[in-house]
Amino acid sequence: MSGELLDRILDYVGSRSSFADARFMEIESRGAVIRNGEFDESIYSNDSGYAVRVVNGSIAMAYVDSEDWDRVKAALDDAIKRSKKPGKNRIYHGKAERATWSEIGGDHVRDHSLEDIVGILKDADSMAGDASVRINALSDRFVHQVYVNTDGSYVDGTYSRIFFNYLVGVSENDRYEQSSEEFGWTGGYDNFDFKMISDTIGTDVSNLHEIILAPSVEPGNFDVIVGPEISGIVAHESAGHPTEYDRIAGREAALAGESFLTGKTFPYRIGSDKVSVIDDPTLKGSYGYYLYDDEGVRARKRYLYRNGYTSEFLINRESAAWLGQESNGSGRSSSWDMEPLARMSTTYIEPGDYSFEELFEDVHRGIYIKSFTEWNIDDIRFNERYVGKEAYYIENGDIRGRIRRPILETNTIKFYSAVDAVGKDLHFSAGICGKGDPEQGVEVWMGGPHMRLRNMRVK
Amino acid sequence: MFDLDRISEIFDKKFDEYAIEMHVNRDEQVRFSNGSRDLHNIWQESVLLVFVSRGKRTIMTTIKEGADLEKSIEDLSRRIDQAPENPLFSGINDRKQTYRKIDASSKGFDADDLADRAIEGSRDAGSDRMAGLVYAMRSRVEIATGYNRGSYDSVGAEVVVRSFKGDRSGQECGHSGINGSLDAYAIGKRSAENIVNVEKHEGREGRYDVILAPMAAGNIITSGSYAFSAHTVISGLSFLQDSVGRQVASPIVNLYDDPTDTAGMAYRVFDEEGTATSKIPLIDHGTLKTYLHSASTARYMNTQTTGNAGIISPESWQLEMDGGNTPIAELISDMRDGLFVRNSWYLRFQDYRNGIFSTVPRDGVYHVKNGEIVESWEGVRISDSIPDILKKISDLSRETQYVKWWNEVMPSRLPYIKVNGLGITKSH
Repeated sequence: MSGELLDRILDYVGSRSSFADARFMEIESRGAVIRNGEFDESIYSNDSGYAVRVVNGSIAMAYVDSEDWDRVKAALDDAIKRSKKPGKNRIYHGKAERATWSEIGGDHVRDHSLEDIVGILKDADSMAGDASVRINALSDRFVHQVYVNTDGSYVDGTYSRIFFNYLVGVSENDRYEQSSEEFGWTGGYDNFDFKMISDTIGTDVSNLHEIILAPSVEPGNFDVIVGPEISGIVAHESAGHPTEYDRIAGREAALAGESFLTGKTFPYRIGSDKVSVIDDPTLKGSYGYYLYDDEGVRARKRYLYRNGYTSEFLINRESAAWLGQESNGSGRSSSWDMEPLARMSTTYIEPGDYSFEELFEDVHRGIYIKSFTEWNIDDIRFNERYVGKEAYYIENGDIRGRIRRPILETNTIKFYSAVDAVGKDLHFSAGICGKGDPEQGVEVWMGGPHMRLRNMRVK
Repeated sequence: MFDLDRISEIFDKKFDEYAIEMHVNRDEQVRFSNGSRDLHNIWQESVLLVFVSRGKRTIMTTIKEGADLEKSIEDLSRRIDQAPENPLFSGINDRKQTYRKIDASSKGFDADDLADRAIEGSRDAGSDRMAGLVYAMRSRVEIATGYNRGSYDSVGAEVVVRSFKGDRSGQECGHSGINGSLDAYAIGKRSAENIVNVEKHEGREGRYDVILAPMAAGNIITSGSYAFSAHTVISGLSFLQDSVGRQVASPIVNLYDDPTDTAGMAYRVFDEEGTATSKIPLIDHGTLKTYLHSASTARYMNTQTTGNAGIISPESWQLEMDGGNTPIAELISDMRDGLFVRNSWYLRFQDYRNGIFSTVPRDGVYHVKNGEIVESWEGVRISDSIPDILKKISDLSRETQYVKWWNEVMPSRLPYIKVNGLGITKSH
């Protein structure tokens, strides 16, 4: 497909609607997996199509992967007809954007062969030493999209993304311990930090050999220092998701749920004034990077929480209209055949001014949870749980022996309220965030610094 | 439309083996919330899902309609030579297959009508507001391998409704294939009727006898279905390792993978390498009968394919568990002190090999005392392991339901499941 019908599609639906937009998206993706040292599978695909949104009495979208005008027109006619039914039909217009942007790096993903990918995977496998389970996967995507709308916007964007994930497992007698990590970047292979990945795998396996023998925690109340991986998942789950305005308004209620912020008066206090959470799609190289969202709106940094209070919501064209605000460029769609939803990009807790040592020196009896395995959160993003992976006791400011799978099961307000010191470091992890039905996995970073929480229940 | 005869001829010359699955889809979805529709989605897509091999080298790809076929195949031919050999792959199923005939010509679902009925049902049962979605799907599916050709029409629908009364919610779902019935009004109505107006309490940690409604059971059972895949077993990640022929569940448990059940939306006639599908007993009176296999994993384990390719990684299609003899009303009335959990979501594993996980109950977590629902609990979690839960199943309802909800519950048919001593934890 070439995208040659885009203007014709917009002309056709534009004259039959109060607002319309259309995207042509091409996605070239590749990936391979090595399992326990053996090649497992590889996939390559070229996918493309049109997404057309028509607004009249309600909103309808047609997704077509054909350039046979008669077939395209039939789908458009159907969407036009459906959009005349009653329903919600408010949509943010905003100013017309004319822009072209690109983030494909210097070392283009399309210049790398499957052999290159397999070579990287084999090297990664060798870093896992004697782990009994070793699964390594690497994939990349090259995406080109043109967005147009009836207000005169034209945004042409091109980007590539790289994703690496692994799972390693270690057995000892009748015990088993596993770890998985994810890494991602937007741009080319010049951004791909294999040294960091291989160092992490090696350290992870070596840690697992010690964790597997470690005792469980004696349940009680402790001061807790969490590492950036925990800060990141907390920022994502209990700041990013609850500030997606479609959740607050109930649009996702039957799926990923609503928000503990529904019905609140804003700004709403979420915790300690030490806590600010940012979502920033424009962070160069980040896995969720974009300069214009999938609704042709310019992206920008936004504070979701600021000094312990809610600040700004993640909104797309639909939810911006409900709020009577400008879209802040959060409309993301994982593919040409998916609707744009209010989504995160890179969500992180803003660093403070404590050094790593300063965070610990005031802790008499505590637990340091550096990373996590299992986690989940309820559908209003309030009741949450993080099970520690690499974790230690702290005694009088010093890191002592390891503990196995300590559990922090708490809620959003208690977590953020317990934060009394925020580190000045900042690290990010990658992830694929799921939302919508059909489920859309979009690329994100989540991150933050080390943080100290007082008097938390750990079990 | 693709010309599969011509495409097969080209693949025949270029590769040792191939499996091409063509999907021509016309799907619709209506999403609604707060009593009115948010969006009507219409998908019109055509795609070839292609697997090719040259010796033990394999690669998968997709080819879209309108793509330069010659160029796509040349590209694939070049890329497969870059792939290392796959030791697990030993060829696709080369046996001639006979496929079931499915006549779906007269069957269809109307997404608009289903959505209107679902909303109406919820309203009639007194909800303050509701949200949900409806899918109506129709696909032409064809397969071509060097050994088999087949086709069928896949027609299905899915309804999910979550209703609210004040700050309480209830959720129900259903799905149907060509021979099922899908009463969207009843689903909407039940989602509101099932909300019980009892006092709210913070939950209490401990081990409880718990009745899991089909959605909650589906969240746990279908999330754990990875363990049945031979590929997971070979990878060392299954809690069912070395368990064929062994007791892995309570003797009252009979679990199948049944893609032949056309009353459910996930029926299919052949798997991804052209093997005719059949009803596969997985657990028979508590005993594990087989893993799920493709031809390659079956050869690796010296057994027969079960028709569940995923050529490299087999998977279940539509899990179904036999119901028991006890009506659900009796399961509840017989409970002295336990919980009734309507739905659950966000299941995550600490450890795949031991199946240790937690999941967050929602849409009705009720404390039952002496057969009566007395409290509604908040802030709790099911924290346990799937192999332990399978063994702790103590009763099954007579009623079963076709359930499918988002990616939390894969298409399945399940009863209400009573589990003794289920681990419940809470937030502090």
